[in-house]
Amino acid sequence: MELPKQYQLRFLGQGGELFSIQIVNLLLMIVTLGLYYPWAKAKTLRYTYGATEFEGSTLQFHGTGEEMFKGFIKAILFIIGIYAIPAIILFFMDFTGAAEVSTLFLYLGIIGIMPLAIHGSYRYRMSRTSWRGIRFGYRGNRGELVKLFFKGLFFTIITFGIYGAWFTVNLRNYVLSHIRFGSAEFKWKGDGGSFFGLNLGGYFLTIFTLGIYFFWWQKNLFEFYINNLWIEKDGTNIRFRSKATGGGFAGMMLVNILIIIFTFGLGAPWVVVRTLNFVFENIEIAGDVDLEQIVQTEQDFKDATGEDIADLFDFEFVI
Amino acid sequence: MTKLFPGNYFDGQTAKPQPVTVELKNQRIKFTPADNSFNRELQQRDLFNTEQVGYNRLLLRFGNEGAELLDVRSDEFVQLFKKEFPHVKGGQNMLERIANSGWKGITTLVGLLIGAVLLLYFFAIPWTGDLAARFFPQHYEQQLGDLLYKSIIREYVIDSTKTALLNELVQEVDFKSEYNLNIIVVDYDMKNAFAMPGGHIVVFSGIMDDMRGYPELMGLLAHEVSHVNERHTLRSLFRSLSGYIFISVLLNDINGLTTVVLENANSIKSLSFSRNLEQEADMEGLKIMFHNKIDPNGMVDLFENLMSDGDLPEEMEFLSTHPVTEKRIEYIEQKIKESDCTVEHNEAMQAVWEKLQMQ
Repeated sequence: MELPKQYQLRFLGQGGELFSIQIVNLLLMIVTLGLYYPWAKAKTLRYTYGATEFEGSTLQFHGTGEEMFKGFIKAILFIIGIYAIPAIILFFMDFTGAAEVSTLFLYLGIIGIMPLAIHGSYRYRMSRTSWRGIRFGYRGNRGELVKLFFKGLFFTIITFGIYGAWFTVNLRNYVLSHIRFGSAEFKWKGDGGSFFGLNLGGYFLTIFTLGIYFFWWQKNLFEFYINNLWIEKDGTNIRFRSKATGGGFAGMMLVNILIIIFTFGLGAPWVVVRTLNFVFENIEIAGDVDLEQIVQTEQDFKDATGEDIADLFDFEFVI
Repeated sequence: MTKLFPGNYFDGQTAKPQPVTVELKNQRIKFTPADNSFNRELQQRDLFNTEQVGYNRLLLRFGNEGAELLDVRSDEFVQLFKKEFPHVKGGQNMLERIANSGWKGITTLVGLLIGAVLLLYFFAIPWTGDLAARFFPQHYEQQLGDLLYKSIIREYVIDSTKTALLNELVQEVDFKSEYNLNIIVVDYDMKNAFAMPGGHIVVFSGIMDDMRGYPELMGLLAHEVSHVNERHTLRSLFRSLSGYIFISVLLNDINGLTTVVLENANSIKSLSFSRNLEQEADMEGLKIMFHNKIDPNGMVDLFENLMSDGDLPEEMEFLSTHPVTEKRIEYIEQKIKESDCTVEHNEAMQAVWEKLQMQ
């Protein structure tokens, strides 16, 4: 049997380069009172994707500020809509429990939009990402995701949060398994039980060890995310393996915290670069997929609304 | 003899790299594989976008939806491309050019950023917080105040006789307030009083003990009612909230870590901020006294009375957040001098005051 091929994934970014991008972004965002955000995001993504090299070729992000700005405006309108009903109840209707009813409507609105935002954000982000000219794509079905989401949410509520672990894992199973890279398909299969055990153990051991175990908990989570991921193409596949250690996580995170504290936050770009370097260095990729056989299959998709809603509510959900 | 550069061409159909030699001349990019099976020529208008990776690598996208890709690794090629297509990278704005011009540029930008942040934090943010507090619906503010009042008043013993007398006294004064004033005297031997949103004012019996006349008492009430009228609690709350939100938004990707670091700075700021509000309450309080023709020197008496009380317990916030008392007396006296107020002795107030003294 042929030995599986090792694939190389590297991050080529430099803290200084990212810093000069982000300082301009920050300034323009302040001057425009936040309206520059979509362009800022497009520039940052273009840089980090361009600095991600897989087998000698870099990823490319083709999203533009203009596209994302349109999405941004639509997302803001959506969000105004979500806040409008609770606000009307709160300020114009005078009955006992108005505050509670209004809060309920607000939560319903935010929760209702979450699966739509996840779906939209994946479709946009994947379609605007390519490697060697081959586009990524997300082929999940919106209706299925919504159903999965509300089913999970329902069980999570009636089990007082315990089902949350299965809920998260099922969502991830669905979303990641519908990502395509040309004719190759991403797959992710995690098990809710082990995710639950991992977090339960991690939580208590972190408390018992006065926080020290936290890094090993992170290491286990990383392993869970990475080791359950693979790529499939016509019976061949590429597997991902974590090489990260708890000690490695401790070193990376503690230094990151020190950088942030002593630079009053200005060192954030170096923290991002260090983190990405750590992540990529600790993923081992091997398999028998012939990359040259991967062909273009996905369409272009330009609506960034979902991506921007996800941003505004701050629930990023990428790989 | 033009220079040829090695590169990889991807046709947008498969991920298979096709080694090509690239030539750059007369605003034209020509490339061809070793076996000469095809020959392509691109002009600026064919380029979908170009992306420089590091200093020595250029990715050119072209063709249908930009699916075709030419990847050339050579710093000489990058330089030549910039010379031949000076307008392609014209997407850079002024700030980006400064950022890419070396350390001096970066330092300038950091300075600009710090300046902009300070400007926002000390001027724009408090201003918007204030605006939000002013437009906050009154009945909701009332609810908030009622809630606050109910939870706080439990800790005290109400002196109902003095409370009734004080409310009788208040009837004589036009506080120019939109709120239903609810003044409560609690039995507590400390020189303090505080106001809550919606018109609840708690007066400690200790502060009334050494008072020398009804103008002094009215000075205290006018000050506290001004806190209510000017919505000071809400404004402080909104300002500190908006400051907090601002910090977290600005440093979004670091998950509140830096927020914790900067929180101390925030509390110092809100301290000096409260002093501003105290001064505003003094000034508005004086206006109420002028309007009602009550002797404004009552307010001076009040602060002298407070000052005479040397050893205040440390936990009493009243001292720390109020402007240094001497300064306060100074500006109040100044204000009284500037005004042409008339004072009339109020018999009804005097009568209630005497009853209060007998308690």
